[in-house]
Amino acid sequence: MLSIENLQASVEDKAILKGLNLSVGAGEVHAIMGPNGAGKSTLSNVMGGRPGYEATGGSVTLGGVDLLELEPEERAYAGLFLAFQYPVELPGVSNMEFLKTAVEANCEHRGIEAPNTAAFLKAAREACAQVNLSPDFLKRGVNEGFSGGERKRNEILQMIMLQPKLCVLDETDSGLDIDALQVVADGVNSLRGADRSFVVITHYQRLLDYIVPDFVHVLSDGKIIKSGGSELALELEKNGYGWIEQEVA
Amino acid sequence: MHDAFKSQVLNAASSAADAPWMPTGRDQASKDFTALALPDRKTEGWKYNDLSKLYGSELSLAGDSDLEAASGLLADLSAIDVPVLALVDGRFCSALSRMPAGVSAVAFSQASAEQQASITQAIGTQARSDGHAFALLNEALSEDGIWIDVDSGVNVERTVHVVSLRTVAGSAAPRLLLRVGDNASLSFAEHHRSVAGLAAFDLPVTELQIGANSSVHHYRFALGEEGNRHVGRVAARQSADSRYYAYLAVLGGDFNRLDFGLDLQGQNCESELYGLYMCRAQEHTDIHLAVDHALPHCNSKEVFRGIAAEHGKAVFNGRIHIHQDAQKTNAELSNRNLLLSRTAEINTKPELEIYADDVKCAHGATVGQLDAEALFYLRSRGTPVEAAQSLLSYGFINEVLLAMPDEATAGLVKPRVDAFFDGLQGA
Ligand SMILES: Nc1ncnc2c1ncn2[C@@H]1O[C@H](COP(=O)(O)OP(=O)(O)O)[C@@H](O)[C@H]1O
Ligand SMILES: [Mg+2]
Repeated sequence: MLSIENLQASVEDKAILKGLNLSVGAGEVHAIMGPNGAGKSTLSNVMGGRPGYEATGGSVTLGGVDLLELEPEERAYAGLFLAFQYPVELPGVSNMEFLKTAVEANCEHRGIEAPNTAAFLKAAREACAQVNLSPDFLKRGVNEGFSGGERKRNEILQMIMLQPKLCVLDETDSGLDIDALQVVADGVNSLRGADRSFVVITHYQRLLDYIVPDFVHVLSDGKIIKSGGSELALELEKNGYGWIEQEVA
Repeated sequence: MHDAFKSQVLNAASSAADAPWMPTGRDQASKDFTALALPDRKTEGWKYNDLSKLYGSELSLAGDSDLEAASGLLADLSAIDVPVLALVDGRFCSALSRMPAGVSAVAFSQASAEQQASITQAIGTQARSDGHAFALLNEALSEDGIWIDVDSGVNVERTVHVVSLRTVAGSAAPRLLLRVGDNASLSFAEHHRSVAGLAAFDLPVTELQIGANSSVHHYRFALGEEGNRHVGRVAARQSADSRYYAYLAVLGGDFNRLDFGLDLQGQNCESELYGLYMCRAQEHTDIHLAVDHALPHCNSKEVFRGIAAEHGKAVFNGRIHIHQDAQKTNAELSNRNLLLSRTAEINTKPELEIYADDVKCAHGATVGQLDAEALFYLRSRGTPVEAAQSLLSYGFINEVLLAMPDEATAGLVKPRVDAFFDGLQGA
């Protein structure tokens, strides 16, 4: 599904990712943990093609498609979805309009028929219910005046509507109370399936009690320095990152 | 250039002399106009205007109208079946009008002797007082107007639409005169429209007097076409405890100038003015707003949003004048502008003149570009870049559209907003 090979990337001419390798099979959930500043958000931004984040070497392919060559919207058509750490506000652009335009563009490029208005509305309302947002949020400006937790739930709402192949969640759990965390985890778990994969970036083991990963990776100084099963997350929670960094050094 | 323009005005005014009854004293107005020093680039308030566009080309009154074209310009209004008073090239057209019920509305040319007396009394009391050159020009050239008189205690709930249509080249100077009594309410819309590619010069003037404890919603949509020039004036005055809401849109047309004046002449008034202006191609739009707080305890809020694309050029000048007696005033002016290309230009200047000491006054004016983070967010969801730009730009002005309480009326400007974004030449 996803294959990242020797990825190097820089921000403002400063090297941040320094040869990162990661391979995610169909249906798998991978967790990426690591200290602040390790490059976790940079990884998701480079995958998404955010302006200012430049891949200087290596490759990222999704379902055989080289993502790094594509415009951001084309990466979405290839099946990529990023749930952002800090989703921005789009004042005056209604959530409904935003979702509808995106769903229609994705359908068109993936060669599937777009839902008609009634079907779209129904799906949007159901998705709202699933992430525990009132349908009124569809009429509001995207993230406009939303609380931190509401923004994160709105990210999951979009993820449900867009049916991506690969979901990358960048610290979607940070700052969430336990109820909101449960909602986010339920959203992710409901989408789990044989042909959909997840990369869950997190700081805290807590989320992984709800979304149980198949693999856990430690990202430090721009590289994956250790990989293991879900038990690795517990070990990190208990002992921090220092011991691995030493082990590797 | 000024002299040549003035002599054309005199000629045109004399050819308008046979027009139906006009209350404004055409001869006096043309004399006063020709005696004036016309604004030029050195005149305060006109420095961003290329006035050769006004004085440089021929001025003569519009000839015989094309009624079929006029009817075509009314299709959307016919579809929503609302009361319409139609002026075609400055002259009332009863065939295209559907008179409103429950309110006295009449063309000057059709007014009874009694109505003529009321019109004569009301006209010019606001727009003429400030020596505004183009308001005088309207009086010199005007061939007809609409008089709407809402008696005290009357509520006109269905929006009354006054439509000024241009179907042939030349100048037209329609006049709209409204008086709303005490404890009354009115919703009305004025539309300025033209067939495409017409060298039409519009000089409309609207005067509005709002009585005590009354409420007025005023829509003003100037939807110009290539070749059009539009120099408009609105003068509104509020009495005590009244509420006035205005929704302005200026789109299209080669040259647009709007001078909008609001006088708060009573205590405890509330005013909200919303406006949007959008220029592309080589279009030029200049909005001059002047709000005068004369008495205490009034609240005014002005929200204006502008977009310029391609080689479009916009000017916004918002002056809030808080006079010495206007204690406890609360005034809030927000003007934000969006540039969609490097060749577009917007100048904004809020001017606060405050002579009272116990007031709250806030203003903000910005000119910027689309937010790169917001664009990326949309694109990351699969929205193509052009659609993402349109959505964000639409969002930028949506505040103004959403403020309009009459959705059917707001719906009359939206297609033009959509059309603005279609096929824009990018950055
Ligand atoms: N937009 C940016 N401008 C400048 N430096 C950045 C930017 N984004 C990330 N960085 C730098 O890249 C490094 C990695 O940051 P980031 O990927 O956000 O880490 P993490 O998400 O693991 O906390 C840090 O040193 C950070 O300062
Ligand atoms: Mg981060």
